[in-house]
Amino acid sequence: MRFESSLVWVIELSDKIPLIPWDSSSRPPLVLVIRGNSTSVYIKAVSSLKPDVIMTESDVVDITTVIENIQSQSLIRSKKRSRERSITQRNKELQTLARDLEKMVEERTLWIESSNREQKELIKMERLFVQFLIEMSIKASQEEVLLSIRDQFRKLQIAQEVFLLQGKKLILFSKSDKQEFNLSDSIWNTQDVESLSENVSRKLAKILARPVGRLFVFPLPQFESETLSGVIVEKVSTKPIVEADYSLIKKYVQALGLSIQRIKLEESNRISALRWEKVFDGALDPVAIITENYDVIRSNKSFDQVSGKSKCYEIWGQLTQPCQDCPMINSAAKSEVAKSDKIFQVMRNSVTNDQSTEQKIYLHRYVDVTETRQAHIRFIQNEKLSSIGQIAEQMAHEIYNPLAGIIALVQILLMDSDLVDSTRQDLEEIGKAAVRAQKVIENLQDFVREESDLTISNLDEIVDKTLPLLKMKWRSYRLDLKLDSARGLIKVQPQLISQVVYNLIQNACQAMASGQTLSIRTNIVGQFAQLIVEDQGVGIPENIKSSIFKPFFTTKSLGEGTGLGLSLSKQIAERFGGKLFFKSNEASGTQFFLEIPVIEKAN
Amino acid sequence: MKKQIKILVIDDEPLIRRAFQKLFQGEKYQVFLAEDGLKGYQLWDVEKPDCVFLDVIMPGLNGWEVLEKKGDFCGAKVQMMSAYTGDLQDKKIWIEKIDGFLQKPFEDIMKIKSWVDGLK
Repeated sequence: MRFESSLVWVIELSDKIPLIPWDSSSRPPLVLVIRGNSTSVYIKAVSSLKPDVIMTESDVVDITTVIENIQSQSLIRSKKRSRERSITQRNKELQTLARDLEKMVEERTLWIESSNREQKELIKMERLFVQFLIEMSIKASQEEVLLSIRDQFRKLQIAQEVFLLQGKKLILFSKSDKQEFNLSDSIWNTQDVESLSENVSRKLAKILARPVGRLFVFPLPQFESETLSGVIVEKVSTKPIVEADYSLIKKYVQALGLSIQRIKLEESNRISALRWEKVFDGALDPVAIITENYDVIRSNKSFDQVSGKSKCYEIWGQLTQPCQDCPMINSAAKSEVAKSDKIFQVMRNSVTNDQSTEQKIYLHRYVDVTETRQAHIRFIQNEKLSSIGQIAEQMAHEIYNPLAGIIALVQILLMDSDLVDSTRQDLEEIGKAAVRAQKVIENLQDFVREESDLTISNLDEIVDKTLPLLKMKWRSYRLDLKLDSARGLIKVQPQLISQVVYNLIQNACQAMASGQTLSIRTNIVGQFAQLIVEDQGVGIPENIKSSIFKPFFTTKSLGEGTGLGLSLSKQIAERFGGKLFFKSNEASGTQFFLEIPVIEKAN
Repeated sequence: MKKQIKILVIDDEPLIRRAFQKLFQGEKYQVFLAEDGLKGYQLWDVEKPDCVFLDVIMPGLNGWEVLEKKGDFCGAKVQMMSAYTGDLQDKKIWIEKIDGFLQKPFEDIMKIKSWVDGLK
């Protein structure tokens, strides 16, 4: 075979075919020309050479056409090949793409996995933080809280030490004690945490006598008017300290700050409550917090404690039903209530909001006003007496003058010797009547006069002056009068003793039915001038005998008596060194004894 | 004829004036009556009585005020009369100047008559 690059390859079965130029990019085609009429076997045999074209001689009319044919075929093939190449190329590209995608998926998967791990790690940290918060919420003191955070820091390897800074004091807590260090000056001057750390580091290292790690300072929220305080966290680490470390510490310290605030608030509340308790219990007056139904919820020390009883009137009033005039009954703000022998002003405040639907609660305060009431009544009585006194003085003059005139004229008329006997007698009676009238005025004046000086007098004189004032009362009874104490002089305020005598006689009269005997006797008994006022009444009942000298005690109905008569009378007697007492029984009635010490016996 | 004793009674109570008038009936006496302080003072000035019975408590000028206004008693003996027994501390200067203080009602009216008779 012959070949040249630009020739058509021909298996030379014929020498007739010339050389034809060919595209050198591919091998020239192999054209097999078969001579004559070859048998198929022959064709098969030569086709094993893999020619591009097999032609018979007869076909080769125009070799150019053949070549063109071959060329076009070759072109087709080359196109085919280039298509194949590009397909291959594209395949490669697709493969590369596929590989890239695979790679991406792989990376993504890895990333998701690591992300998961990170998340799990974060969740774990959060859970630990929440546990820490829960722990914080039940701590009761600053100390516990600081120890707790320090333990947490150490456990999680976030930091090593925690200090509390209060003003200029640095405090380090440990399980058993606390150490305090005084800093020479406040370190709150700078806002910048970084520079603060350097400054404090040096100081701290000096104070603790050991090298210190990186310090983070966090101010704590200021509570009320305390000095500024803060927390210093020390982190010692071989690795460089990053922002994340700081953030984590900060997070914990913030929780700490809130916890400390809570603790301080609780302490403040506790102190307030304690103070309130002290005030409540320390009040001298009994105070009780009660419901609408009189159940005592809380009471102070001054309020009686009676076990088994829950109602206010059971404990304080010692009754089986609400006290009369209790302010709760009329929804009053205050009311006067009598208890045993005293008078209390019970003041009532609502504790619950008016709008609330809960059971209403009230505060009751029981103020003993017995003294003031008595003083008040005495004052009123004094006022009354003084105005009566003024009236009496006025009356005295208006009545005295005519009386004096009558007496004078009668005296003069009686000087006439020419009088008829009956006229004379009549004039004498007129005179006596006028004198009697004048004596009454005199007595009344004595009775109401405001003398503050003690006077020498005697019981007989005083009884004499007092009797006429009560005549309307005692004249329904038989009067048995025996006065025998004139020789015993007493130094008293006569009008006060007169009031006592008046009171005793009045009581005696009220105890008797008309016609019975009222006995009034005076005597000297030992060192005392004694007055006995006796009635024939039914006596004083046993169960009230111990109460009759008590102020405000009265057997009379409302408005009739103040209940002060005997109480004041006893006081008056005692004021002058004397006594007032009684003997009484159902059979013989009642005897009241008034005894006043005698200063000297008149001859 | 003996000179009459001039008696001046200054009192707002009609019965008192009447009583004095009746007591000093007769030629021996000449009784002048005044029902209030002012009239009394005027009569005192004009009649120049030998004795004056002067009530303390009267409407208008009271007894003390009359004394103060009169100043000089012009030789009259003065007896004050009253039911008033109150505090006479601040009236001490007058008490010293007058001749007597009669408590009303009079215990014995005859004593008064004797005293007047004793003036002359």
